[in-house]
Amino acid sequence: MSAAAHGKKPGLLSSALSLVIVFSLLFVASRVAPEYRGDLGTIAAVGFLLLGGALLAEVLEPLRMPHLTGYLVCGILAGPHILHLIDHESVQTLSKVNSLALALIALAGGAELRISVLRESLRTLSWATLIQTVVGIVLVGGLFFCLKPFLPFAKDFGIGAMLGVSLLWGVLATTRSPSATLGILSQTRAQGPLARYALSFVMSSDIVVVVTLAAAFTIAKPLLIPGAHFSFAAFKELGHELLGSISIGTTLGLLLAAYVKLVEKQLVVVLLALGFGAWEVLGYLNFDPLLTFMVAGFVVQNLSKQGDKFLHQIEWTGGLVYVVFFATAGAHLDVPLLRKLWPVTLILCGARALISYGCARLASRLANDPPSVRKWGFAPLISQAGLALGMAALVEKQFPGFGTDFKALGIAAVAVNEMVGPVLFKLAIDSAGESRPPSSSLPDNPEPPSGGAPPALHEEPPGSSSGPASEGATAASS
Amino acid sequence: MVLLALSAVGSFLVSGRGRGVGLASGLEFVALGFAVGPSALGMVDRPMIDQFEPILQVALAWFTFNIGLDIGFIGERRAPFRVMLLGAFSALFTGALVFAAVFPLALLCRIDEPGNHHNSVIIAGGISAACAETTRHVVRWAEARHGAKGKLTEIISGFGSSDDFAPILASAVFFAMSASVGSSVHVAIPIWAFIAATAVLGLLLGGVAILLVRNTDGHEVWAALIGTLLLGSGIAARFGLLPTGVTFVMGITLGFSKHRGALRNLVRPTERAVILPTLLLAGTRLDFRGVLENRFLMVLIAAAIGARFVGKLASGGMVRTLSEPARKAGKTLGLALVSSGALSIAVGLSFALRMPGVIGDTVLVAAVACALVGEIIGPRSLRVALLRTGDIEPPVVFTPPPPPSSEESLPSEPPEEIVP
Repeated sequence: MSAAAHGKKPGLLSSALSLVIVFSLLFVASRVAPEYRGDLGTIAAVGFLLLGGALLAEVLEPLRMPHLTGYLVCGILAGPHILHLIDHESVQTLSKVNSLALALIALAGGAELRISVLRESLRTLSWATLIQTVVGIVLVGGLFFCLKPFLPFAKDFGIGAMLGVSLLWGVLATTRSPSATLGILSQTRAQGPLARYALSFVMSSDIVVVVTLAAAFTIAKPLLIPGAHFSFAAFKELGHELLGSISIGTTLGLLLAAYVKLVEKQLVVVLLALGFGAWEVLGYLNFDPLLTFMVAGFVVQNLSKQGDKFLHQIEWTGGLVYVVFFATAGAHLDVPLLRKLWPVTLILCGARALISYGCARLASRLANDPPSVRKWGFAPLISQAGLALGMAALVEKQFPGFGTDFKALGIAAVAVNEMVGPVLFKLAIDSAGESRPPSSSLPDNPEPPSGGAPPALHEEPPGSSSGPASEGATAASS
Repeated sequence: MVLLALSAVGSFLVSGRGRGVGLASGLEFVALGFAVGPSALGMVDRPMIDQFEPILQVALAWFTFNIGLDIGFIGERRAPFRVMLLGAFSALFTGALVFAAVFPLALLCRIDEPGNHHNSVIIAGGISAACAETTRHVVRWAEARHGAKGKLTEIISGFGSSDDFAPILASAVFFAMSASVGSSVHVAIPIWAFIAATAVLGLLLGGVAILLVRNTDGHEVWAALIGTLLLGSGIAARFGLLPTGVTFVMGITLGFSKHRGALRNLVRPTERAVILPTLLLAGTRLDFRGVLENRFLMVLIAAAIGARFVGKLASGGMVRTLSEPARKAGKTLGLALVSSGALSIAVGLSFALRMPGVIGDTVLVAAVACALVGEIIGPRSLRVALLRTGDIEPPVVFTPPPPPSSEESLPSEPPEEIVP
């Protein structure tokens, strides 16, 4: 919906007008019929988030803001803490879309990783991973340790316990946001060294974080829980989880490649089934769904010739899902909590950004990266989202004593990074000159297709293909 | 997972490439749904069907949006105004006739509270809405199966695509009369205001959709369409309006935009994928218990079918009077217009979803019964009518030539026999 990119000013005005209408409609509905609790209430919320998110993204586009910031802001404004157009119940129901969105993100992320690109950037990735992980954890954890007097839940901690919590916070700080990275890359259609670096680093960092987290739990447990002993059991479990996820991901990838090649039709339904069903099953079996789907995408791209077709379909499906996903994330944002914790959150987020910047510069110099990566390599590392929230929830579960406060601080930090990170990354992509213009818009007066009347109830429409994506592409290209 | 698997199976089922294969009304899907549903084999139970309700609501909204986008069009061209008027009048006339036949009988069914005829009005209204239309799919079926092409085909096509507004308008009226059901608005608002609100909401969201699709591409067009549709349905439900009415008006509004052709091409492939699973789910919701327990309801349905016959025969007569090419079709034209299908069942389903119990069940059963009778009579009559007007080529039967005598040479062309 890039009216600005088309050079048509009325696009912006009409978007603003549409946005006002959409907000007003739901505002009136939520005030006139406030007690409505039907399924259609949730459906209205989905519709609103889709429309409002897309429209706000367009209105913010002249400010060079990323689309997903528009989606987030729309969710925050409409959510239960500000305008209350969408209630808590609907937000909770909509959270089910998260697994679908994350599955698509992981599949797309894996499918975007090409072996040739990874081989080329192996040196860059190795240095960046090593420095961001080791130096990042030490410095961010160290700062957290120093902030002890400002952290109410840590006031009574001894040095050992404080070291344990700081280690956990340090690991939390190394989590990135594959969804935000893919969202920006999808919007900007970026191609270039920075885009390649961002994608490969952020996707592979997920695996690194999972391993680091297991290590951090192993070390932190004896420090934080009196009587607990150092044990390698967590690594055994981790080994099962990682190897199992990779094995299942490989099998799934091969099956998906075979499906795309042999059937191709209704891939959307398969993706929906995977996102809603397989994600839950994998989680229940203690495998890492994100890693599994990433491996599956990687296999489809690199071990078959169906990668581009597959990626195109995911991008189409994801386009709609991401809007709802990010807008729901915005609606989820606990604004009162952020208001309460903002000073310490700002310090921690600012420090994390600075440390990421320093580490990125150092790693780029050591790896002899291209100038765009040297200059902007830190930008894709600021965003945080689902992975960080998942980790904070895990800390809460493992350490009930302080876990709840730790999680609250984590949520507040993620909220800030979620808002700032995408803006910074978009700025970096634009400044590095890697964005590409959007494709053409819907035709005004298309030629009527030959055949005249539309198809009968049982008739395949003339020239129709497997799904709406190809139809959309046809309409757009005609 | 089971529901998703069913959806996947449904998608595969409806993605067959057979041209003109299956029934014009799509009743085989209703029958399949009924067979697996709780009233027959019980393979799908009631709670599972209830889980599908939001999906059904959205499917119905999408279906009526498609109808709105197509209304008054024959393919990519506008239908002649006279045909549109005729179609609309026929549906209103038939609907009124059905109401007049059903309402007095509904009063005898003892479904009202003493001194209140509200339920009788709603049941008669719902049945009349469900029995008003001639399905536009019957002529498409004739085109696909018999290669029908010509003036009468166009007339019936325009007729079928123009009469759809009547059932939806009627549904909006009767939904407005029971607006308090399922809504949290408890303010006394006149019926006309509800109908006006339905139209205004549809117009507004249609306008928003037009503004949005102007400069968009790819998934953003879908985001605009799906977003407005879901928002419209949700808000309509919140106010107790008819969600399908809102999306229908949205479709009409978009039909007036210059992007109609492109949008039509975009949404066309989804039509079957939405309608046929919807019919399947409608079948699972079919519940004959209420009708079997109260025999008056059976009489009421029979009366509705009878009144529909009268209405459609009269409509056929009107078409023949006003249109020269239709005259050759004879009286079978009226019988051809008896076909009903997806929209009738969708109306019945809307009532079943909004007013579960005897009212909703009876309206849905009546809609399916009308479609069944229409299916038996309509397509055959249409074929005969189209053969008479020459819109369908008479089938050519090859008669083998007599064995050549030794003196004769082989004939250059085999003789043809025309079978009328």
